[in-house]
Amino acid sequence: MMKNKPTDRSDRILESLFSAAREDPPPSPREGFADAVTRSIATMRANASADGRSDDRIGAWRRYAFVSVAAAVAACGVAFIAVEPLSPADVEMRVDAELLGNVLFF
Amino acid sequence: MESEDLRLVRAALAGDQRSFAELVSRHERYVFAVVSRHVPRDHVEEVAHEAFVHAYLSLANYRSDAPFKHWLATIAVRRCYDFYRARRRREVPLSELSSDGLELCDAILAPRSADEARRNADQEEARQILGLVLERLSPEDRMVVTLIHVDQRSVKEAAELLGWTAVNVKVRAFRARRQLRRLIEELDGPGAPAGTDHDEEQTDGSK
Repeated sequence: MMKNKPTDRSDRILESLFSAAREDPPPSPREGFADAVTRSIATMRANASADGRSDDRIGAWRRYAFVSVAAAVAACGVAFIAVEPLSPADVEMRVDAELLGNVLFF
Repeated sequence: MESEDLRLVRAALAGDQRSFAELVSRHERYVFAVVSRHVPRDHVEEVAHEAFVHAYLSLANYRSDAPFKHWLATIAVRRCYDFYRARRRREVPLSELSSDGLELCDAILAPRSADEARRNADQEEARQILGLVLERLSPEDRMVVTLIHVDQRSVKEAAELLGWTAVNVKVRAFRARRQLRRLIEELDGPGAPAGTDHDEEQTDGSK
């Protein structure tokens, strides 16, 4: 007579455990489960749009700050040119002087 | 049935929340059934809830070429996997079994036919013992074992649900089953015959 494999025994046990789990009826969803899901989705959407609004506010402030700084720099540049108009020769001379300064001091 | 699902999906995508609620009502029992195969009873509702929320967020990705139910099952199975990944694996000593559980083990482990053992096994206790041994597997192995042996899905189906390759699922299923056998033999006690593959070959006398 053929002797049983030791693993046959544990396989049988496993199979009986699996089949017991298969026969176990699943729990039923409680009354109002679908409403609970849609409520949490609605809350999530409301929070997301609130976050979006807050992000929009931050974005607006950043844009405002950037435009203000850019406008201030542009205004300074225009004022400088208006107060001290330079001819192309002046510009060339100034650049040469800066170059010489760089070579001498660095 | 499926076209009704599709209509509800389209309405939900257009912003109609009631349509999504209708979809949840239509499939909640099925999702509970899928989830309850994998996670403990007291977490089924929580995981099913997460699955539906995730389904809502991914609704735009749903392709009508597959049934909505299958798509939902994929999401539910992956949420179950996430549940185990998020939870730290608990190494419960097998000696932690209650006296009832030990009695049931004895009943199952007694030499008799599988049918008789199954008849005698109280389902809830059997679930507890199965839960205890599954707790020792990695989340990946646990999902594969449950899908193939409890849910009785094919390797291909399990691979599709988990988003893994069939080879990966097959290898994991084989290794996990071997590990489960060892755990059962551990439960069986030191006096029981050893269940290593080596012993199996020798006892069988096939080598």
